[in-house]
Amino acid sequence: MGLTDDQAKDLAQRFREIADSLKYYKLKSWDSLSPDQHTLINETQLRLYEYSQKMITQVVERIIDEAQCSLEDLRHVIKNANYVINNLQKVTQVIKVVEAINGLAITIINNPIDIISAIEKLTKSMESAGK
Amino acid sequence: MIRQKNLIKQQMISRKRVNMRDNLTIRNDRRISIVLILLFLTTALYGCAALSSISSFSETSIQAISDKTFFEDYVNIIDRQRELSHESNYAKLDEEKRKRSEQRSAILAFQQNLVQYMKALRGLASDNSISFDNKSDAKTENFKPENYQDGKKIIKSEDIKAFHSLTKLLARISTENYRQNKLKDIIRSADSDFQILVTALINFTKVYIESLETEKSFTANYYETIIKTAETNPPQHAAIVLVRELKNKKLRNLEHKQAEAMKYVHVLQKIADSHNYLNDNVEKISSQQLLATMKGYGKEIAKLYESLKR
Repeated sequence: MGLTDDQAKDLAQRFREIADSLKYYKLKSWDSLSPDQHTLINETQLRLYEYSQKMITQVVERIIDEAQCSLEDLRHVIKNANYVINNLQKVTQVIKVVEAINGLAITIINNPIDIISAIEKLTKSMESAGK
Repeated sequence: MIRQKNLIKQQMISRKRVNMRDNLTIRNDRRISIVLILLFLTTALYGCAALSSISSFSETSIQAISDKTFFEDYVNIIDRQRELSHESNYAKLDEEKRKRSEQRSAILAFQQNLVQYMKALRGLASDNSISFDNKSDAKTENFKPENYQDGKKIIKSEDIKAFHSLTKLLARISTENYRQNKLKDIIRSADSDFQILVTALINFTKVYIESLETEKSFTANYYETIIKTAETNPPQHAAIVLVRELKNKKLRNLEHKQAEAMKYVHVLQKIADSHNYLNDNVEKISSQQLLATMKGYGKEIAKLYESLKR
Protein backbone atom coordinates (compact mmCIF):
# COMPACT_ATOMS: atom_id res chain seq x y z
CA MET A 1 0.00 0.00 0.00
CA GLY A 2 1.42 3.40 -0.96
CA LEU A 3 1.74 6.47 1.22
CA THR A 4 -1.15 8.84 1.69
CA ASP A 5 -0.72 12.57 0.92
CA ASP A 6 -0.44 13.41 4.59
CA GLN A 7 2.08 10.65 5.24
CA ALA A 8 4.22 11.75 2.29
CA LYS A 9 4.02 15.39 3.43
CA ASP A 10 4.91 14.32 6.96
CA LEU A 11 7.91 12.36 5.68
CA ALA A 12 9.10 15.36 3.63
CA GLN A 13 9.02 17.42 6.81
CA ARG A 14 10.75 14.70 8.89
CA PHE A 15 13.60 14.27 6.37
CA ARG A 16 14.17 18.02 6.43
CA GLU A 17 14.11 18.15 10.24
CA ILE A 18 16.63 15.30 10.54
CA ALA A 19 18.91 17.06 8.01
CA ASP A 20 18.59 20.27 10.07
CA SER A 21 19.39 18.39 13.29
CA LEU A 22 22.49 16.97 11.61
CA LYS A 23 23.46 20.51 10.62
CA TYR A 24 23.25 21.74 14.22
CA TYR A 25 25.20 18.71 15.43
CA LYS A 26 27.84 19.25 12.71
CA LEU A 27 28.28 22.97 13.50
CA LYS A 28 28.39 22.34 17.25
CA SER A 29 30.86 19.45 17.03
CA TRP A 30 32.79 20.89 14.12
CA ASP A 31 36.29 20.58 15.58
CA SER A 32 35.80 17.16 17.12
CA LEU A 33 34.59 15.53 13.90
CA SER A 34 37.03 13.69 11.66
CA PRO A 35 37.13 14.54 7.91
CA ASP A 36 35.36 11.24 7.14
CA GLN A 37 32.62 12.03 9.66
CA HIS A 38 32.22 15.48 8.07
CA THR A 39 31.84 13.90 4.66
CA LEU A 40 29.39 11.31 5.96
CA ILE A 41 27.21 13.93 7.68
CA ASN A 42 27.28 16.21 4.64
CA GLU A 43 26.30 13.43 2.25
CA THR A 44 23.53 12.21 4.57
CA GLN A 45 22.17 15.73 4.87
CA LEU A 46 22.12 16.21 1.11
CA ARG A 47 20.37 12.88 0.64
CA LEU A 48 17.74 13.83 3.24
CA TYR A 49 17.06 17.19 1.57
CA GLU A 50 16.79 15.33 -1.72
CA TYR A 51 14.31 12.80 -0.23
CA SER A 52 12.31 15.66 1.23
CA GLN A 53 11.93 17.22 -2.26
CA LYS A 54 11.15 13.79 -3.75
CA MET A 55 8.32 13.28 -1.25
CA ILE A 56 6.93 16.68 -2.20
CA THR A 57 7.02 15.71 -5.89
CA GLN A 58 5.10 12.54 -4.99
CA VAL A 59 2.41 14.50 -3.15
CA VAL A 60 1.96 16.75 -6.20
CA GLU A 61 1.65 13.64 -8.38
CA ARG A 62 -1.24 12.46 -6.20
CA ILE A 63 -2.90 15.88 -6.21
CA ILE A 64 -2.84 15.80 -10.02
CA ASP A 65 -4.13 12.21 -10.27
CA GLU A 66 -7.01 12.86 -7.91
CA ALA A 67 -8.19 15.95 -9.78
CA GLN A 68 -7.73 14.56 -13.31
CA CYS A 69 -11.26 13.21 -13.49
CA SER A 70 -12.75 16.56 -12.49
CA LEU A 71 -10.66 18.24 -15.17
CA GLU A 72 -12.37 16.13 -17.83
CA ASP A 73 -15.80 16.88 -16.38
CA LEU A 74 -15.12 20.61 -16.18
CA ARG A 75 -13.97 20.59 -19.82
CA HIS A 76 -17.35 19.16 -20.72
CA VAL A 77 -19.13 21.95 -18.79
CA ILE A 78 -16.97 24.60 -20.50
CA LYS A 79 -17.82 23.15 -23.91
CA ASN A 80 -21.50 23.28 -23.04
CA ALA A 81 -21.23 26.85 -21.71
CA ASN A 82 -19.41 28.06 -24.83
CA TYR A 83 -22.06 26.40 -26.98
CA VAL A 84 -24.76 28.33 -25.12
CA ILE A 85 -22.84 31.60 -25.49
CA ASN A 86 -22.34 31.04 -29.22
CA ASN A 87 -26.01 30.23 -29.64
CA LEU A 88 -27.00 33.41 -27.87
CA GLN A 89 -24.94 35.36 -30.35
CA LYS A 90 -26.17 33.67 -33.51
CA VAL A 91 -28.13 35.97 -35.75
CA THR A 92 -30.35 33.15 -36.95
CA GLN A 93 -31.19 32.39 -33.38
CA VAL A 94 -32.13 35.99 -32.75
CA ILE A 95 -34.26 36.21 -35.85
CA LYS A 96 -36.15 33.05 -34.86
CA VAL A 97 -36.82 34.63 -31.52
CA VAL A 98 -38.01 37.90 -33.03
CA GLU A 99 -40.37 36.03 -35.34
CA ALA A 100 -41.81 34.20 -32.37
CA ILE A 101 -42.10 37.43 -30.43
CA ASN A 102 -44.04 39.27 -33.12
CA GLY A 103 -46.84 36.75 -32.84
CA LEU A 104 -46.73 36.70 -29.10
CA ALA A 105 -46.74 40.47 -28.77
CA ILE A 106 -50.13 40.68 -30.44
CA THR A 107 -51.56 38.19 -27.98
CA ILE A 108 -50.16 40.25 -25.17
CA ILE A 109 -51.56 43.52 -26.47
CA ASN A 110 -55.01 41.99 -26.66
CA ASN A 111 -54.65 40.36 -23.27
CA PRO A 112 -51.91 41.87 -21.04
CA ILE A 113 -52.54 39.24 -18.35
CA ASP A 114 -50.96 36.63 -20.64
CA ILE A 115 -47.52 38.27 -20.40
CA ILE A 116 -46.01 35.82 -17.97
CA SER A 117 -47.18 32.73 -19.82
CA ALA A 118 -46.03 34.33 -23.10
CA ILE A 119 -42.55 34.86 -21.69
CA GLU A 120 -42.45 31.26 -20.48
CA LYS A 121 -43.53 30.00 -23.90
CA LEU A 122 -40.88 32.11 -25.59
CA THR A 123 -38.18 30.91 -23.20
CA LYS A 124 -39.18 27.33 -23.96
CA SER A 125 -39.03 28.01 -27.69
CA MET A 126 -35.54 29.47 -27.20
CA GLU A 127 -34.51 26.43 -25.20
CA SER A 128 -35.56 24.15 -28.05
CA ALA A 129 -34.00 26.44 -30.67
CA GLY A 130 -30.77 26.43 -28.67
CA LYS A 131 -30.42 22.62 -28.79
CA MET B 1 -91.64 66.33 -40.61
CA ILE B 2 -88.69 68.72 -40.66
CA ARG B 3 -88.60 68.59 -36.89
CA GLN B 4 -88.54 64.78 -37.01
CA LYS B 5 -85.70 64.84 -39.60
CA ASN B 6 -83.70 67.20 -37.39
CA LEU B 7 -84.28 64.91 -34.44
CA ILE B 8 -83.01 61.87 -36.40
CA LYS B 9 -80.02 63.92 -37.63
CA GLN B 10 -79.21 64.98 -34.06
CA GLN B 11 -79.52 61.37 -32.88
CA MET B 12 -77.15 60.22 -35.64
CA ILE B 13 -74.60 62.91 -34.75
CA SER B 14 -74.93 62.01 -31.11
CA ARG B 15 -74.44 58.26 -31.87
CA LYS B 16 -71.42 59.07 -34.05
CA ARG B 17 -69.93 61.13 -31.18
CA VAL B 18 -70.54 58.26 -28.77
CA ASN B 19 -68.83 55.83 -31.21
CA MET B 20 -65.89 58.20 -31.62
CA ARG B 21 -65.63 58.60 -27.85
CA ASP B 22 -65.80 54.81 -27.41
CA ASN B 23 -63.07 54.33 -30.03
CA LEU B 24 -60.95 56.96 -28.33
CA THR B 25 -61.48 55.26 -24.96
CA ILE B 26 -60.50 51.87 -26.43
CA ARG B 27 -57.40 53.41 -27.99
CA ASN B 28 -56.53 55.14 -24.74
CA ASP B 29 -57.10 51.91 -22.82
CA ARG B 30 -54.86 50.06 -25.25
CA ARG B 31 -52.21 52.74 -24.98
CA ILE B 32 -52.36 52.54 -21.19
CA SER B 33 -52.04 48.76 -21.50
CA ILE B 34 -48.95 49.14 -23.67
CA VAL B 35 -47.43 51.63 -21.25
CA LEU B 36 -48.16 49.27 -18.35
CA ILE B 37 -46.68 46.35 -20.26
CA LEU B 38 -43.57 48.38 -21.05
CA LEU B 39 -43.27 49.34 -17.42
CA PHE B 40 -43.69 45.73 -16.31
CA LEU B 41 -41.20 44.45 -18.87
CA THR B 42 -38.65 47.14 -18.05
CA THR B 43 -38.87 46.16 -14.38
CA ALA B 44 -38.53 42.49 -15.27
CA LEU B 45 -35.54 43.25 -17.49
CA TYR B 46 -33.88 45.20 -14.71
CA GLY B 47 -34.16 42.10 -12.50
CA CYS B 48 -32.77 39.88 -15.24
CA ALA B 49 -29.84 41.90 -16.42
CA ALA B 50 -28.22 42.92 -13.16
CA LEU B 51 -25.70 40.08 -13.11
CA SER B 52 -22.70 42.38 -13.38
CA SER B 53 -21.49 41.39 -9.91
CA ILE B 54 -21.21 37.77 -11.08
CA SER B 55 -19.31 38.78 -14.21
CA SER B 56 -16.98 41.02 -12.15
CA PHE B 57 -16.42 38.13 -9.68
CA SER B 58 -15.49 35.96 -12.68
CA GLU B 59 -13.23 38.67 -14.08
CA THR B 60 -11.31 39.07 -10.81
CA SER B 61 -11.06 35.29 -10.42
CA ILE B 62 -9.68 34.96 -13.96
CA GLN B 63 -6.85 37.36 -13.11
CA ALA B 64 -6.04 35.59 -9.85
CA ILE B 65 -6.23 32.04 -11.20
CA SER B 66 -4.10 32.98 -14.23
CA ASP B 67 -1.10 33.72 -12.01
CA LYS B 68 1.62 31.23 -12.98
CA THR B 69 4.39 32.46 -10.64
CA PHE B 70 4.20 29.59 -8.15
CA PHE B 71 3.77 26.84 -10.75
CA GLU B 72 6.88 28.02 -12.58
CA ASP B 73 8.91 28.42 -9.40
CA TYR B 74 8.03 24.89 -8.26
CA VAL B 75 10.38 23.62 -11.01
CA ASN B 76 12.96 26.38 -10.43
CA ILE B 77 13.49 25.15 -6.84
CA ILE B 78 15.35 22.15 -8.25
CA ASP B 79 17.44 24.40 -10.49
CA ARG B 80 18.48 26.52 -7.51
CA GLN B 81 19.32 23.39 -5.52
CA ARG B 82 21.42 22.19 -8.46
CA GLU B 83 23.44 25.43 -8.40
CA LEU B 84 24.51 24.70 -4.82
CA SER B 85 25.06 20.97 -5.34
CA HIS B 86 28.01 18.84 -6.31
CA GLU B 87 28.19 17.55 -9.88
CA SER B 88 27.64 13.99 -8.64
CA ASN B 89 24.04 14.95 -7.77
CA TYR B 90 23.20 16.54 -11.11
CA ALA B 91 21.68 13.42 -12.72
CA LYS B 92 19.26 12.84 -9.82
CA LEU B 93 18.29 16.50 -9.72
CA ASP B 94 17.75 16.59 -13.48
CA GLU B 95 15.42 13.62 -13.18
CA GLU B 96 13.52 15.41 -10.40
CA LYS B 97 13.30 18.52 -12.55
CA ARG B 98 11.91 16.49 -15.46
CA LYS B 99 9.16 15.07 -13.22
CA ARG B 100 8.27 18.49 -11.87
CA SER B 101 8.18 19.97 -15.37
CA GLU B 102 5.62 17.34 -16.37
CA GLN B 103 3.63 18.10 -13.25
CA ARG B 104 3.77 21.80 -14.02
CA SER B 105 2.13 21.12 -17.41
CA ALA B 106 -0.67 19.18 -15.69
CA ILE B 107 -1.18 21.89 -13.07
CA LEU B 108 -1.20 24.55 -15.80
CA ALA B 109 -3.93 22.55 -17.57
CA PHE B 110 -6.03 22.72 -14.37
CA GLN B 111 -5.41 26.42 -14.20
CA GLN B 112 -6.22 27.02 -17.87
CA ASN B 113 -9.48 25.10 -17.62
CA LEU B 114 -10.53 26.96 -14.49
CA VAL B 115 -9.82 30.19 -16.38
CA GLN B 116 -11.82 28.93 -19.38
CA TYR B 117 -14.70 28.07 -17.08
CA MET B 118 -14.58 31.48 -15.43
CA LYS B 119 -14.53 33.12 -18.86
CA ALA B 120 -17.63 31.16 -19.84
CA LEU B 121 -19.29 32.21 -16.58
CA ARG B 122 -18.33 35.82 -17.28
CA GLY B 123 -19.67 35.47 -20.82
CA LEU B 124 -23.03 34.20 -19.63
CA ALA B 125 -23.31 36.69 -16.78
CA SER B 126 -22.23 39.63 -18.93
CA ASP B 127 -24.95 41.94 -20.19
CA ASN B 128 -23.03 42.15 -23.48
CA SER B 129 -23.39 38.43 -24.17
CA ILE B 130 -26.47 39.11 -26.26
CA SER B 131 -26.06 41.57 -29.11
CA PHE B 132 -29.78 41.43 -29.56
CA ASP B 133 -31.06 44.95 -30.15
CA ASN B 134 -29.01 45.87 -33.21
CA LYS B 135 -29.74 42.60 -34.97
CA SER B 136 -33.42 42.68 -34.22
CA ASP B 137 -34.02 46.29 -35.22
CA ALA B 138 -34.25 45.55 -38.93
CA LYS B 139 -36.69 42.77 -38.34
CA THR B 140 -38.93 44.70 -35.98
CA GLU B 141 -38.91 47.81 -38.18
CA ASN B 142 -40.46 45.79 -41.01
CA PHE B 143 -43.12 44.54 -38.73
CA LYS B 144 -46.49 46.28 -39.33
CA PRO B 145 -49.05 45.44 -36.68
CA GLU B 146 -51.90 46.73 -38.90
CA ASN B 147 -51.38 43.81 -41.28
CA TYR B 148 -52.07 41.25 -38.62
CA GLN B 149 -55.29 39.70 -37.33
CA ASP B 150 -57.23 39.37 -40.62
CA GLY B 151 -56.36 42.84 -41.82
CA LYS B 152 -58.00 44.42 -38.82
CA LYS B 153 -55.96 47.21 -37.34
CA ILE B 154 -55.22 46.38 -33.76
CA ILE B 155 -53.18 49.47 -32.97
CA LYS B 156 -52.64 52.77 -34.71
CA SER B 157 -49.40 53.86 -36.35
CA GLU B 158 -48.50 56.22 -33.46
CA ASP B 159 -48.42 53.17 -31.19
CA ILE B 160 -46.03 51.24 -33.41
CA LYS B 161 -42.99 52.80 -31.76
CA ALA B 162 -44.19 51.65 -28.36
CA PHE B 163 -45.00 48.28 -29.86
CA HIS B 164 -41.45 47.93 -31.23
CA SER B 165 -40.06 48.80 -27.81
CA LEU B 166 -42.34 46.22 -26.27
CA THR B 167 -41.28 43.59 -28.80
CA LYS B 168 -37.61 44.25 -28.14
CA LEU B 169 -38.07 44.24 -24.40
CA LEU B 170 -40.00 41.00 -24.52
CA ALA B 171 -37.31 39.41 -26.67
CA ARG B 172 -34.66 40.65 -24.32
CA ILE B 173 -36.42 39.25 -21.27
CA SER B 174 -36.92 35.86 -22.89
CA THR B 175 -33.28 35.75 -23.90
CA GLU B 176 -32.28 36.87 -20.41
CA ASN B 177 -34.43 34.12 -18.89
CA TYR B 178 -32.85 31.60 -21.21
CA ARG B 179 -29.39 32.93 -20.31
CA GLN B 180 -30.10 32.83 -16.57
CA ASN B 181 -31.41 29.28 -16.73
CA LYS B 182 -28.30 28.19 -18.62
CA LEU B 183 -26.11 30.05 -16.13
CA LYS B 184 -27.80 28.21 -13.27
CA ASP B 185 -27.35 24.85 -15.04
CA ILE B 186 -23.69 25.54 -15.66
CA ILE B 187 -22.96 26.67 -12.09
CA ARG B 188 -24.76 23.60 -10.72
CA SER B 189 -22.98 21.13 -12.99
CA ALA B 190 -19.55 22.73 -12.51
CA ASP B 191 -19.41 23.38 -8.77
CA SER B 192 -18.12 20.02 -7.49
CA ASP B 193 -15.43 19.78 -10.20
CA PHE B 194 -14.60 23.45 -9.75
CA GLN B 195 -14.13 22.88 -6.00
CA ILE B 196 -11.93 19.82 -6.60
CA LEU B 197 -9.71 21.66 -9.09
CA VAL B 198 -9.35 24.82 -6.99
CA THR B 199 -8.61 22.62 -3.97
CA ALA B 200 -5.96 20.87 -6.07
CA LEU B 201 -4.36 24.27 -6.79
CA ILE B 202 -4.60 25.19 -3.09
CA ASN B 203 -3.00 21.89 -2.05
CA PHE B 204 -0.35 22.28 -4.71
CA THR B 205 0.49 25.80 -3.46
CA LYS B 206 0.73 24.52 0.13
CA VAL B 207 3.07 21.74 -0.98
CA TYR B 208 5.10 24.31 -2.93
CA ILE B 209 5.48 26.26 0.35
CA GLU B 210 6.75 23.02 1.92
CA SER B 211 9.22 22.63 -0.93
CA LEU B 212 10.46 26.17 -0.29
CA GLU B 213 10.89 25.25 3.37
CA THR B 214 13.20 22.40 2.37
CA GLU B 215 15.03 24.74 0.00
CA LYS B 216 15.49 27.19 2.88
CA SER B 217 17.00 24.47 5.09
CA PHE B 218 19.19 23.30 2.24
CA THR B 219 20.39 26.86 1.49
CA ALA B 220 20.99 27.66 5.15
CA ASN B 221 23.02 24.48 5.56
CA TYR B 222 25.08 25.29 2.45
CA TYR B 223 26.04 28.78 3.60
CA GLU B 224 26.45 27.94 7.28
CA THR B 225 28.85 25.15 6.35
CA ILE B 226 30.91 27.62 4.26
CA ILE B 227 30.89 30.14 7.12
CA LYS B 228 32.03 27.50 9.63
CA THR B 229 34.77 26.32 7.31
CA ALA B 230 35.98 29.92 6.93
CA GLU B 231 35.80 30.57 10.67
CA THR B 232 38.08 27.63 11.42
CA ASN B 233 40.54 28.76 8.76
CA PRO B 234 41.41 32.40 9.57
CA PRO B 235 41.91 35.13 8.37
CA GLN B 236 38.53 35.05 6.58
CA HIS B 237 36.46 37.53 8.57
CA ALA B 238 35.44 39.86 5.69
CA ALA B 239 34.48 36.89 3.53
CA ILE B 240 32.38 35.47 6.37
CA VAL B 241 30.41 38.70 6.70
CA LEU B 242 29.76 38.72 2.94
CA VAL B 243 28.68 35.09 2.85
CA ARG B 244 26.43 35.59 5.87
CA GLU B 245 24.77 38.54 4.12
CA LEU B 246 24.33 36.49 0.98
CA LYS B 247 22.83 33.64 2.98
CA ASN B 248 20.41 35.96 4.80
CA LYS B 249 19.40 37.56 1.50
CA LYS B 250 18.64 34.18 -0.07
CA LEU B 251 16.66 33.05 2.97
CA ARG B 252 14.67 36.31 3.06
CA ASN B 253 13.89 35.83 -0.62
CA LEU B 254 12.60 32.31 0.05
CA GLU B 255 10.53 33.48 3.03
CA HIS B 256 9.01 36.18 0.81
CA LYS B 257 8.07 33.53 -1.76
CA GLN B 258 6.42 31.45 0.98
CA ALA B 259 4.43 34.42 2.26
CA GLU B 260 3.28 35.23 -1.30
CA ALA B 261 2.27 31.62 -1.89
CA MET B 262 0.22 31.64 1.32
CA LYS B 263 -1.57 34.78 0.12
CA TYR B 264 -2.32 32.95 -3.11
CA VAL B 265 -3.82 30.07 -1.10
CA HIS B 266 -6.17 32.63 0.51
CA VAL B 267 -7.13 34.05 -2.90
CA LEU B 268 -7.93 30.56 -4.25
CA GLN B 269 -9.84 29.66 -1.11
CA LYS B 270 -11.94 32.82 -1.45
CA ILE B 271 -12.68 31.99 -5.10
CA ALA B 272 -13.74 28.45 -4.14
CA ASP B 273 -15.96 29.75 -1.31
CA SER B 274 -17.57 32.37 -3.58
CA HIS B 275 -18.39 29.81 -6.25
CA ASN B 276 -19.75 27.48 -3.60
CA TYR B 277 -22.00 30.27 -2.28
CA LEU B 278 -23.15 30.96 -5.84
CA ASN B 279 -23.98 27.29 -6.30
CA ASP B 280 -25.83 27.04 -2.97
CA ASN B 281 -27.98 30.07 -3.85
CA VAL B 282 -28.25 29.55 -7.60
CA GLU B 283 -32.06 29.67 -7.53
CA LYS B 284 -31.86 33.27 -6.30
CA ILE B 285 -29.29 34.26 -8.90
CA SER B 286 -30.81 37.66 -9.67
CA SER B 287 -31.75 38.55 -6.09
CA GLN B 288 -30.30 41.77 -4.74
CA GLN B 289 -28.85 39.97 -1.72
CA LEU B 290 -26.98 37.37 -3.79
CA LEU B 291 -25.67 39.98 -6.21
CA ALA B 292 -24.54 42.23 -3.36
CA THR B 293 -22.74 39.30 -1.70
CA MET B 294 -21.08 38.33 -4.99
CA LYS B 295 -20.01 41.94 -5.47
CA GLY B 296 -18.47 41.82 -1.99
CA TYR B 297 -16.67 38.55 -2.80
CA GLY B 298 -15.36 40.05 -6.05
CA LYS B 299 -13.94 43.02 -4.14
CA GLU B 300 -12.35 40.77 -1.49
CA ILE B 301 -10.70 38.62 -4.16
CA ALA B 302 -9.42 41.72 -5.96
CA LYS B 303 -8.06 43.13 -2.67
CA LEU B 304 -6.36 39.85 -1.71
CA TYR B 305 -4.88 39.52 -5.18
CA GLU B 306 -3.68 43.14 -5.16
CA SER B 307 -1.82 42.51 -1.90
CA LEU B 308 -0.19 39.49 -3.55
CA LYS B 309 1.04 41.51 -6.55
CA ARG B 310 2.49 44.30 -4.39
